[in-house]
Amino acid sequence: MDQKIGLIVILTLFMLLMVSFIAVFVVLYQKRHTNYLKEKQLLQYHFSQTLLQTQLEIQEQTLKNISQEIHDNIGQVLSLAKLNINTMNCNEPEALQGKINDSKILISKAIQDLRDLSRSLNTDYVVEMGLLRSVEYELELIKRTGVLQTVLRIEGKPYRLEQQQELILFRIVQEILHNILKHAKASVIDVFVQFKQELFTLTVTDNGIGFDASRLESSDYSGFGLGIRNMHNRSVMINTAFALNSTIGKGVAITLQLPINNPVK
Amino acid sequence: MELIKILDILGPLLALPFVFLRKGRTRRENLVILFLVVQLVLNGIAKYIMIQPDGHNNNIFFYKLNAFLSFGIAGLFMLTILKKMLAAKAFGLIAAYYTVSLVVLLIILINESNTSFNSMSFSLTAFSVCLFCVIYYLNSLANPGDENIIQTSKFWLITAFFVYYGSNFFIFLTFGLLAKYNIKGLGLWGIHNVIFFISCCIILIAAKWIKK
Repeated sequence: MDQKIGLIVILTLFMLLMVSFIAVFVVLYQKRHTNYLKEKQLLQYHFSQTLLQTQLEIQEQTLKNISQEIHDNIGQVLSLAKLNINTMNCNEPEALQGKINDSKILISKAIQDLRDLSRSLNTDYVVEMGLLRSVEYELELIKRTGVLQTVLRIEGKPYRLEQQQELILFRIVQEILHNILKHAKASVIDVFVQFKQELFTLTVTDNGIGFDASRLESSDYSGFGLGIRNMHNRSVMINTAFALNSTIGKGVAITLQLPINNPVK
Repeated sequence: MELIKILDILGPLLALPFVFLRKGRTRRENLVILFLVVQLVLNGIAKYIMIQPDGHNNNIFFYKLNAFLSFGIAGLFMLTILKKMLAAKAFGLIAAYYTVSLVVLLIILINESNTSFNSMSFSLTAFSVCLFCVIYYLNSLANPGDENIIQTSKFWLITAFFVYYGSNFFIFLTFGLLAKYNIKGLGLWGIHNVIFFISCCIILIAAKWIKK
């Protein structure tokens, strides 16, 4: 009988040990799971904050672009048209006709510029056209000014990215093109878009004056202007690798690489 | 005491309808049905042989077959879960271990005489399933996901296997010692039956009350 009790005690202890193991596991797991959910929530909060910050920066940049475009381009053209109208003299019919024609051309150009501006700033339009066509359109606008030559090269079968990704990538490209026009003193802009099954790559290269990018080797963009930092931050936000290479006198090349999980067909 | 003797038949009989009628039953849960059916049928046959009065009541082969098939099914159930949790290399190692264990058990099943109970082969099955369960527990602890596993049937089914095989590992491994204490009224298999019944109850709870 003692042996029987001993056996029951041993087995009960063993069962208790197993139950304890499961109970300890449940307690530990619940603790870790709660921590995991808290961390995830915190990350989501940070992400939404960064997204909001970036959206504000994009908005700010857009307003700046509109202001600059209106001041430098449309404003100048309309001022010229106004000057023409102000100096019209009915007593000189030949000159008058010429000024009317010039004014018509100038006003038409102002209207066209306004349309272009509206198109390139309209988010819906970018989303509708897609990244590739939007970039193509931007390059076409630059080419039309006659200041720069633009080249667009495509490799692979084009596919659509997620809306948010396309929009942010397009704004980065716009910023790059804007920087080239403003600082690079280049004559050619080359855009290379590569569609691979698992990787999307977009490279913008110019043949301008370039700059010393040796500080960027450590991927530290903090020492650079707000423009480059913003581009880098936006890339990080959509899980895109941002690489900038430049040598003085040899132009700048910026590469954006986005791993593809589920491309939108 | 008579009730204890038939708990290994009563357990699966009780749990089977709940698992079978479970809404949105997954393919993996079909393995649990198979496990319960194997246990029910082979334990039933073994029990039937045991109660035969003519003296031809050697049922060890059916227990060995039961151990082999149950391990095959429970192991497969665990592998389908571990496949999604582990890296390809780690999973490959575990799958290889499972295959080798299965082959070893099959060889033992075919070649060994049915006059005695092989403590080592039974322990191997129990140890292997427990090992898979512990890997699952540790992995879940290291990588908690969005889903709380305690609210999933998967966790409770694994716990049922862990309780059954964990306790049996002790019984099988210390078989010699326990056989010595195998006193009338509380046989070794009585303890096995109680543990198996508890496991079946956990399976029943998982099937009936855990929705995910």
